[in-house]
Amino acid sequence: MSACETCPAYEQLTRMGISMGRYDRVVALAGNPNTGKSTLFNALTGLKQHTGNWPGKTVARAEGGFEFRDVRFKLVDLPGTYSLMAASQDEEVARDFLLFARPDCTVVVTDATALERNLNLVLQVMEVTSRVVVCVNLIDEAERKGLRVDAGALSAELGVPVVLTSARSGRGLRELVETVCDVAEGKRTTTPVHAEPPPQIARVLDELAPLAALAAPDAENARWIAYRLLDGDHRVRQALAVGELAAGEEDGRESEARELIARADALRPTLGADFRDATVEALYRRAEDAASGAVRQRGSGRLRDLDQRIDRIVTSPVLGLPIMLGLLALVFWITVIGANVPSQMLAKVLFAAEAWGAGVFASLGSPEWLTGFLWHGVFRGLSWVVSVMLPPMAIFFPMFTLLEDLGYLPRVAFNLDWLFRKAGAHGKQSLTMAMGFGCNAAGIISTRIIDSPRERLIAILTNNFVPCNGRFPTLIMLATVFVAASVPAAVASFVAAGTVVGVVLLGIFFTLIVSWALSKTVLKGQPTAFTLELPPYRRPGVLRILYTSLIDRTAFVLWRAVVIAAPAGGLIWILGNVYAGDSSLAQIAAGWMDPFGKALGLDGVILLAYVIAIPANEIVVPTMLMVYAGLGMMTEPASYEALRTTLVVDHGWTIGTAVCLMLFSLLHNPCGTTIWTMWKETRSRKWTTIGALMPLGIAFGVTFIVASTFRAL
Amino acid sequence: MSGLWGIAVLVLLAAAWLLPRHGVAARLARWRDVRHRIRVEDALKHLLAAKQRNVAATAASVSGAVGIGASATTSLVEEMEREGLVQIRASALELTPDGREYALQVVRAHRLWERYLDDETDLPLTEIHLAADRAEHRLTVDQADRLDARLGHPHTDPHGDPIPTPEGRIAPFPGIPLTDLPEGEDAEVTHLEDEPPGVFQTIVHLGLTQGAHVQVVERRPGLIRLEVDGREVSLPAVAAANVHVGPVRRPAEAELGVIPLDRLRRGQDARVVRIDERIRGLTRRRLLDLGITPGTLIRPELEPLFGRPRAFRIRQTLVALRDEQAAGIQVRPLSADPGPAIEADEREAS
Repeated sequence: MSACETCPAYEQLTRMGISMGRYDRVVALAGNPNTGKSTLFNALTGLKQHTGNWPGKTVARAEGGFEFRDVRFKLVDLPGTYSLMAASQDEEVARDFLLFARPDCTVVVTDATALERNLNLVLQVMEVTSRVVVCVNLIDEAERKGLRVDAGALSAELGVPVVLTSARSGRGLRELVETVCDVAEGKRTTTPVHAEPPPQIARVLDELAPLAALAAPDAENARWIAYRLLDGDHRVRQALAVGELAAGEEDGRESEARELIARADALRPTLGADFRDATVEALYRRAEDAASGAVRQRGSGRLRDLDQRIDRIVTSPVLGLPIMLGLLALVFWITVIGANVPSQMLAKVLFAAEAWGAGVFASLGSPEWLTGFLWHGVFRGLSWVVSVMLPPMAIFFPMFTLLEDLGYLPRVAFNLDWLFRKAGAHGKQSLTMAMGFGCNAAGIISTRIIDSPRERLIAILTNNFVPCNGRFPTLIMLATVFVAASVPAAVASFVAAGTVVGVVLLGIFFTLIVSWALSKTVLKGQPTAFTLELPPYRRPGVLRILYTSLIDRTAFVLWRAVVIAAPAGGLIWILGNVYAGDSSLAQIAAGWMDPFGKALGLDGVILLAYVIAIPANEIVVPTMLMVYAGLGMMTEPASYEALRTTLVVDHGWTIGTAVCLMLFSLLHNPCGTTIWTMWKETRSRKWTTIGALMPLGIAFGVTFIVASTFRAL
Repeated sequence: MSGLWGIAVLVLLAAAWLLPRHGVAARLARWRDVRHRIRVEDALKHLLAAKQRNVAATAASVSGAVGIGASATTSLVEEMEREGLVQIRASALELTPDGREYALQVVRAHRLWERYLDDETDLPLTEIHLAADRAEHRLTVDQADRLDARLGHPHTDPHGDPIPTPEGRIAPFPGIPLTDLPEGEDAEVTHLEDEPPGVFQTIVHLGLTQGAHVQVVERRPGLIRLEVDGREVSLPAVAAANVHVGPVRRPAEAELGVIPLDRLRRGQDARVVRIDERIRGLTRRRLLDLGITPGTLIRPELEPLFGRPRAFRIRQTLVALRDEQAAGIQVRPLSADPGPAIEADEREAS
């Protein structure tokens, strides 16, 4: 039944795209992180979305739709959260949607293998809205472990409908949709149970609840509003003051709101400092009661033991490190080997297309500059980036996602946390770094898995120091042409590989050092809190991952190629073909930069290539060769020997140049896409600027020192 | 031709100087305004503190507190009088009601910021005061209100100083100075004076934090011997005046069999007793969210490569906790134990 993962065969279910013009009902999807919520979302809406086994990886907000019994439902995927007490942005988003958007039905997705913990959120959601359906997901995993969940008993305990599902296989989905439809349409009423707060809180709530009911007639649960006010919830306070929760009333119930707020402020000091603790305890007591009545453990729990045994191996001092390094090396090796042939094929096809296009234009009598600009500039830039980046990305990321889905990656963070802690960072940074090997922009997006603000910033600012897929060709070329050329042929490829590995290790070293420096200076005194959950191992949905990841990555590369690389290609063509006197603009610019370049152990052409390649690092080498050869378009070397001749013989490169260039390639500023992603993720000019210029500064400093050392020798 | 260049340069320089918001002159003016405001606020804080300690505030003391010379102080005080914030009576300075209100706002911002830094970041106590000194001038009243709400309306800052309410009420100074505590009487630290910084550092390094249990063992000239949370330390008398103590709020019952979580051996089951008060902010909420509430069953299950952090089984989930978090969770091991708890020195070695 695996085909049902993306297209379940429900006769009355029709799927629509993200942009739904008209809808009849709104359904919210809430739940703890790592409960398969995204899988459920995809299954219900048919959206292609990235899913993984890692807590906190859901996108901030996703919308989709489906139709059932002629009713059009809009489905909103809320961020995965542990609670609604609004301690983080994710929780605020979820709480705000439930309180203000008032969905017709809220589905709380829970993990059948950890029901007790999940019921904490269920109970909190039931405080805000009564139209709740509890979806007990991952029921197949639970059964494999010998757990049996009694949906009827749980439903009786909670007072709301409960549906058992396995979103991955489609099991239970029809019943879920039917239940949601019934609740949303008002055909089925619910009587959600409420956890009993401790007596002194209950007394205060008793007094405030009637006031809250008057001040916020739109809210379903006045007691909850009163509680949030006591807890210092600024958003609720604000909403009351401006009448957001009394939308139907003319005066917005403002005087009642003022009275409520004043009373709450007066009563709050009587509650003591830790009443929040007491509330959570009460919630968990209720959750324990409900879970114990509905969950039965049968069998020996053998699979739990298997999980534990795998964990011992994977985190053991002897095997842990080799396994990690081995897997990383395997992923790299498969990426490099696997991408080779497709890259060459893509290049052939695209360059043939370029030639054909240019030919057509020429035969139509188009002026040479137009043909050149469009086909040899813009199109070539596009095709270069696509042929270089697409195959490696399409291989690297699906493999990474597989490891993620399996549940292995949190163990890596667990293993390495000690090291990262010494650098003032979080163990999960090892994973964002690993993503950075594929693409630095993706690496920065992946820092969302780091909950703590300071550690997340450190991970964002240092992601650039691991070389991405776009920079590997430069490194490999330099290693092969220079380093390997000075050793006997037999060991040449090993030495080349070893050099690249050395550069990668250097990148990791710089990441740790800069992280440490940042945490001691600029990022000192930023909020920090460590969390790391180790979810159980799960069978990854291999086909589903390959499919969704492939689509994701291809789309991303194509978008980037069109939006960023194509214009860069056009610019390169202009620089290479517009002449002032008898030098092209490119040669003139290179001449300006030459003194500075030489000081860094490079030369003007290299610097020019890097300036132009800010949008996309893949085009550094072709641009360099274009200027060296005095040609008008980006060029590929005929062979490594020809390349060596050009660089060493014609333009005076030494081994020093190669070393400085490798260092510069590793350390220099992030590419345009990465900088833009940094901006989107931090929304801060300050951090984006630091993230862009700090690596450049380090690159200048390091290459200058190395170049001076070479000169002194 | 070079004349033209010269004129162009002059024009550019003039523009750079005179540009309305970004020009050098405009920036200088703004800087001076900010500096004046900061001095006013620092002076107001000083006057408020003097009033609370029943000490007279003079131009000389203001000059010392704000860090400016005598003539600058004179003009500052005169300016403040014109703004209706102070009254000059003989040689003493007094706050007007407006001045007191303004002063309380600044003090509130300062203490809220200290609370925020202590709860949410790992900045050490000795640096929090300095950071708050800078931040207090930047917080608007609205921002202070939001911070207050976000922190859960705390009553005191990390030093034990009461945080003024939005209406401008401030609780009385808690406790008596350590110099006045009779020998042999049990007390709890309620407040630590954060000025001067050198003395404050000494106090903190000796382990005197808010809530610590103290008992005076012996008084000697210039020195006081104390027992602090069970350890004996010697405190210079000048520092003792900066420590305030009050009656013990929670009697120090010997909690039988209760140990911090980080001393639990792998595979040893235990029940959570409580999360220490000193764990606050986002960290505390996350621990609660994960279900670490009194009575919860907890068991260390896994250690990684380097030994830390350890992973614990809580409510069927495996969660990794760092040492400082685990050290703040008190648990009671269940009997039928596979061996004693890990001792403190063993813990450091592992």
